[in-house]
Amino acid sequence: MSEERLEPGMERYARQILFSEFGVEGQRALLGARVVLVGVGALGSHIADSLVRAGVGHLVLADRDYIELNNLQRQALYDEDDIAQGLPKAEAAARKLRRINSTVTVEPRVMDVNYSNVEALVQGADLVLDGTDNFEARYLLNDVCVKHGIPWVYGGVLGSYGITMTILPGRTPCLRCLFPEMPPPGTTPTCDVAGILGPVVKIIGALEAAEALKLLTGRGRLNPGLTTIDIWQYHLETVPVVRVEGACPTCAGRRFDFLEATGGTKTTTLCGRNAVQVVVPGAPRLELGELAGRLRPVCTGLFYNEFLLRCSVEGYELTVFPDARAIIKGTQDEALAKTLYARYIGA
Amino acid sequence: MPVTVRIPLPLRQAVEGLSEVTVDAAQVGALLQALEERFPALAGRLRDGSGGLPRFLRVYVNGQDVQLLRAAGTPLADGDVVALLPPLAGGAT
Repeated sequence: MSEERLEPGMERYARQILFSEFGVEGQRALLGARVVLVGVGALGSHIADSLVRAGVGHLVLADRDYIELNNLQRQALYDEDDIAQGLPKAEAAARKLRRINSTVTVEPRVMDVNYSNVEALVQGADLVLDGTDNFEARYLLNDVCVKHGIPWVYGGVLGSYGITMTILPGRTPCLRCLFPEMPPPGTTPTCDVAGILGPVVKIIGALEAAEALKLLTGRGRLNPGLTTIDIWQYHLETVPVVRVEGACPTCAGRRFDFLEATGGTKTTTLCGRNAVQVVVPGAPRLELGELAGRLRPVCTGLFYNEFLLRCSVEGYELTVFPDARAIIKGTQDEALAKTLYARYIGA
Repeated sequence: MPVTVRIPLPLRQAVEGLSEVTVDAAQVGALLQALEERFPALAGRLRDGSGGLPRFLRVYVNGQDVQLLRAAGTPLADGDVVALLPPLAGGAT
């Protein structure tokens, strides 16, 4: 099909429409789709780049973090200018993606995805993609997607190693069929000790994006199992994933432990960051200008924009978001982070 | 019964950085026990409290999930390749 014969708005996708199994029908399906991507760091920024270029009509980007210099080694979409402007990842990603493709909707959500907000976040989604960096978030995505029958793609990377699996609730094993429990804390290395090589992120991100194209168009053959890749050992393998009928607490038992968790202030140590995030689910939104007025006499290096406030106090760097969340850098002590939060932001 | 065990990156630090280890064992359970004994840093990561397979690890023999075979009792033969698959946490930051 020549580009001239394509209907308006389709010309930019001519090369993928030309791929016969994709075609105009595939493109229409993509343009009509709503995809939620949770986490726009290393994996997520590559996935978002692929999906926006391919023409996914509505992409929601949920991320809790801001950009740091050591992210640029492996995270597409971001640059030094975004850091100078103090932009959260979701916002910086959305700005860049809109310059890449202004004809699709990119919706940035600067937020910590947790039990209190995940159901609203994925409502109406055709697909959920994993760009997260921790087990808890993935089990939460598994819970919400199985509960509401939304397909999702799990992906993780560490060092030279990556893993991905496609989950169709009710049709394929889910994450908890595969791993009914999370490993005990402290037994699994994170990227702060094992590091991360850029190419493996791109490979896993590309595989997730490819699964998205097939899921959204209903064409092609999906990943039939659990794929692992080690680019340093040059080892690539897909093994079958099996489930013992009736054994899974989530898809057989319809028990959504991570979704039903409740509690007050929640702290999370951030992978590789020497930082702790403090979240107060249900807290009223903060007026950053007002908070700046309160903090100015007690802290140094105060900076704020419409997305975040940053300052240093007692040797720690506080970054506070309008959703009352804070990332406290300079410690991995969750109790200390909670204390600092209560002292400077609010109990 | 020497079998080759492929060590995935998340477990490699616990086995002195090796990507493959050769173990003499006739069954999967005995193999996991031998690995834990040889590499103390693996303790509690390959077996649950009662010596069975933990709920956060999948074990494959020649590409087949041992849950579909005889779990920890799955027999091993000379030259078998055992792969260990833990979940992976990393990703975004």
